[in-house]
Amino acid sequence: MVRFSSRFVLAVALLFPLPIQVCAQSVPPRHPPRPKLLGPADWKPSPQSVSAAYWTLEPGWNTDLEMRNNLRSRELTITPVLRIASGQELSLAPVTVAPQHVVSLNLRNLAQEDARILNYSGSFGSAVFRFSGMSAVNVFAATIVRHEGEPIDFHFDADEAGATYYKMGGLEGVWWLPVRSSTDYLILSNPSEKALSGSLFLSTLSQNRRVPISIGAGQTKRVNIRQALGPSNISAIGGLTLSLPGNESLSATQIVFDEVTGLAAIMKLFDRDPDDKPTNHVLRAPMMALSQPDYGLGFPNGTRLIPHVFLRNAGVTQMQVALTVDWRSETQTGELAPPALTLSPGEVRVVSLMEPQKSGQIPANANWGVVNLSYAGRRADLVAVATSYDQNHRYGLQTPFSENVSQKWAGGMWHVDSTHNTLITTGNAGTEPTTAEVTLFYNGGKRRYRLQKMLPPGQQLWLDVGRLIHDQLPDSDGNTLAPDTMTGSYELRDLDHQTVGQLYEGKLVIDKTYGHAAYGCGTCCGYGIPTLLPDPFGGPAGINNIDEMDSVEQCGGDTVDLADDAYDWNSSNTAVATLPTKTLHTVATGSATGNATVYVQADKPAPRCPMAYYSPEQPVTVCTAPTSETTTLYGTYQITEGSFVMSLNPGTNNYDSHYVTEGDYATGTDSCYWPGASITNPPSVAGSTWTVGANGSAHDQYGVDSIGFTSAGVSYIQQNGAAHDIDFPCVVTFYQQMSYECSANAFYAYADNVLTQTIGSNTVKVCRAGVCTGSIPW
Amino acid sequence: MTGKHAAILVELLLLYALSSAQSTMRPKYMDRALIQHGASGETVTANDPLPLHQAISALSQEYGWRVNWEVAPCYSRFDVVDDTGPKWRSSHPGEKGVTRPAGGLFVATFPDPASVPQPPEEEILNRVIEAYNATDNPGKYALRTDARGLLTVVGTTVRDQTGALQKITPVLDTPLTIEKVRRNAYDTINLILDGLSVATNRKLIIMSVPTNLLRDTLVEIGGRGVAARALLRETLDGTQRPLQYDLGFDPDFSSVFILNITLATRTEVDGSGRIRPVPIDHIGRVSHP
Repeated sequence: MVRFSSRFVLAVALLFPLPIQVCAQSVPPRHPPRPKLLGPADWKPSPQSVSAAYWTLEPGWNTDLEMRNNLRSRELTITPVLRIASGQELSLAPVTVAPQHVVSLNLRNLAQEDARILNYSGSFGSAVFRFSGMSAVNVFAATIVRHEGEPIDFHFDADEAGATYYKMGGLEGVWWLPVRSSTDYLILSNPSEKALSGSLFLSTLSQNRRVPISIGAGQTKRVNIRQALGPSNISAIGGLTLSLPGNESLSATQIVFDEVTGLAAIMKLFDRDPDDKPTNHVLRAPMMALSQPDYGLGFPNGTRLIPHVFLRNAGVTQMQVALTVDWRSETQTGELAPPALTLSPGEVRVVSLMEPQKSGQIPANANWGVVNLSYAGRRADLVAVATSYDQNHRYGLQTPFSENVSQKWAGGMWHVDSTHNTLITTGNAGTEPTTAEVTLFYNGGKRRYRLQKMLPPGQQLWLDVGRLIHDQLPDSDGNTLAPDTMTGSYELRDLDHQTVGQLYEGKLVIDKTYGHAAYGCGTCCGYGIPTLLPDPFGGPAGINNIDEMDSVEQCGGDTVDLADDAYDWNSSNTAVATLPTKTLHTVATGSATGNATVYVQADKPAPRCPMAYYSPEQPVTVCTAPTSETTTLYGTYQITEGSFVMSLNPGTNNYDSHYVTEGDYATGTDSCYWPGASITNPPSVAGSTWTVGANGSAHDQYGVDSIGFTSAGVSYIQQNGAAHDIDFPCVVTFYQQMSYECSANAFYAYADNVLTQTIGSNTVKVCRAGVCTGSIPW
Repeated sequence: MTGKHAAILVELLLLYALSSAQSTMRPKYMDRALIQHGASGETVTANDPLPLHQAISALSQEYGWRVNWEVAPCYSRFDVVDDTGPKWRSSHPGEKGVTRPAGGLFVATFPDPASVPQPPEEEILNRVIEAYNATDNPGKYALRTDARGLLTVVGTTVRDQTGALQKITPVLDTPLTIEKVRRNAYDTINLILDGLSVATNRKLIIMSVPTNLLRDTLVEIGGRGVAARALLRETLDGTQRPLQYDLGFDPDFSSVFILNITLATRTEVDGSGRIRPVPIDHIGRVSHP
């Protein structure tokens, strides 16, 4: 659940959309239209950071730092910071990343040029990525840790762990030591500014072990699970629980590797939400490799994978788990839906998907599957980890279970070259068809390749990026990827459900040299707190105003108008103003508050994008504002300026003592200007304010509004302009918008006027709203 | 923007200016300076006879800063060039023509305002001015900050008829004595300019000012031996609005100083997508049709 401040929040966040009810006004619209893109949000950056749990430069190991700028139209400068286990920091050189571009830094290469990094050889710790941005999700960052010369590499996504709003009630997982040469590390880093403490519980078949954990600010602890279990342990697998009584968040990961066999696996950890309530959950692993490896993986002929799903009931009651597999081969698709599993509290079970392939329930030549797990309970009550390795653990890959679906995913780096390939997928987790869009960005983020496809429920869009390049397959716009393209980034979008999306995602980067594939995840993108505009509204009775509900899409940094997606439009006082839709209708003088609700994916805490209801409010003041004005010539000022007084309409109302103010509704023009002239260009109105009925003005009148250059200024133009080839008469034009102050800060724009000063070689004429001085000799 | 991109942009602008110059013999300038968010920070690109002025106007509008401007009064052939229109010249052969400041393209990079100590105006303007002073564009400038933090870019150096750099005393440094009585702001400014004309034997005129505001504001400004700049600022402050001034110079019109006064504004995009300047004391106000 996400908490937002005071007046914006109506209710709690949910994991899945509410069931649709009959009353259209009380639930979100079933098919909200695409939000209207208004353009880049006003750039008001603040310090942001995301952190990844692990990097290492220990002997034989290396780390790449990967950073993607998710913004659509602005470069970002990101400072990577290495923290060693003690928390000591080393800031690396800032990196500027173009919009929608991704860059990668190889730490060992950097160390050749930076002795400070060389001093970190033999070290490990966490990585922080700092930048000035609008939101932490403006950046996708990750560390890729690899054991050089081995099929061992891991991908650790950065997140906002450590942020004060990111609460974590603990972690649940499964530890795994398949053979004696395997190493299982639990890596815990504390990106916050205060120490945290908790307890690690490790369960085996025969015992439970408790390990106190205390991590100082910025520190990283690496727990060797084999050592923590002790020499007497004979189990290969067991449960892992980290309790955090203080509900602090930390960056955590668990890796299993084996330098003898070449095994590399991430045993995904599931974080608990301290405010979580039991509900229905669906976990999904989108890229489960089945027994027959896909040719694109580049494994040796004859390699057979053994697909396993590790399950652990981390809850306190018995759990029913429905497992289904949506499998596919080159030519066929289908679903396997075996009977539900029953897991006792604390039980760890390994489900083999090889057996269904042996028995023919899944065809032997099926390469891939989406594994779905449904259960009722709290988040992290079910721990699920998928692995597909050959019997020697030499070749294989994984796909992570997640229950996140989103309207947009900002992904990291893809690689395609003679030894690498990348597979990207997205699928429809909803109950109705939707249009999925995959965009590959390359050439520094400047070029894009876009595929769009309608996906029925349960279906996947599957991209073999190497094949797209090699076969020069055109995208939905007829473009192809340049044949020499090797890296880039990507985004996934649900085009038909842009407020609450239905898409899940997955990515595999395949290293054919070593026969290993590492998975990576994208950042889900949500919306910031919206504002109902105008805020405040001020205006006269009897008008209609089209309201906007503006919000910032946090990854890309664009402002969108969600008004067409909002519902429950409401006015607190319909005698003053009604707000049945986004059209605000003013009725009678007075005050009211308008509000509406929108149901969208929020942006915090990443990497989650929880659903949230927002109900922004709009103060409304209906006053006796004018609807127009009548301009009357008053005379001239300083000879060449025209002076005018104005009467506000309708004259049956009393506008006295209210302010009117002028602004520009468009950029002015000046044919009297030449480059280098000491004339303000382009011209704009002076921004004057008058009080109606005051300072000598009659009832419902204001003025004087004097317009034009001074006589000395006109002389300057007349005397010098001709020699600069200014054609006389020349004209200065201002586009003046008049606004009336209904109440404090609530201005109503009631009139747009064109103002001109026409300068001849020896005459001047000034006009306001079509009322002119006549030709003034000068 | 990367350095490479900046270089390409500069080349394009130069080509544009050159092609224009070849076709009309009068260069084409930019309507307003361009601010880009680039690799080594932000970049402002100006192309104008007074490019520093154009750059600072763009920065002020982009970030909503209040910055006064006092031009370096350039006059020599090293700082101004002939700008006589060909049409006028053909009908006035042999007559003295007119000039314009000899400036052109100017590009400066500066840090993201959010990344420097707040408020960032002083540091960023100093960077831009420093970059400008390293170019061959006319005039050298300095940033002055008064006790209240109000910023003024002041011309300090011009080239004389031999091409040598010549330090100048800004005209608004001139001390004036004005009787402290209550009068409207418009009349007070005229009085200051009249006093300067007498004290410096230079002509100073008002081009455009917010007439309504100055005429309707009563101030009581004056003193003995007070710098004209201080009197002018005090007068503008009397309006309670964020006014800024721009003192230009034209050597062709009896060597006249030309005063413009405007409200400091920030460029905003309204709900209809229209870009317009909003006075910095009115930002956040919403008016709507």
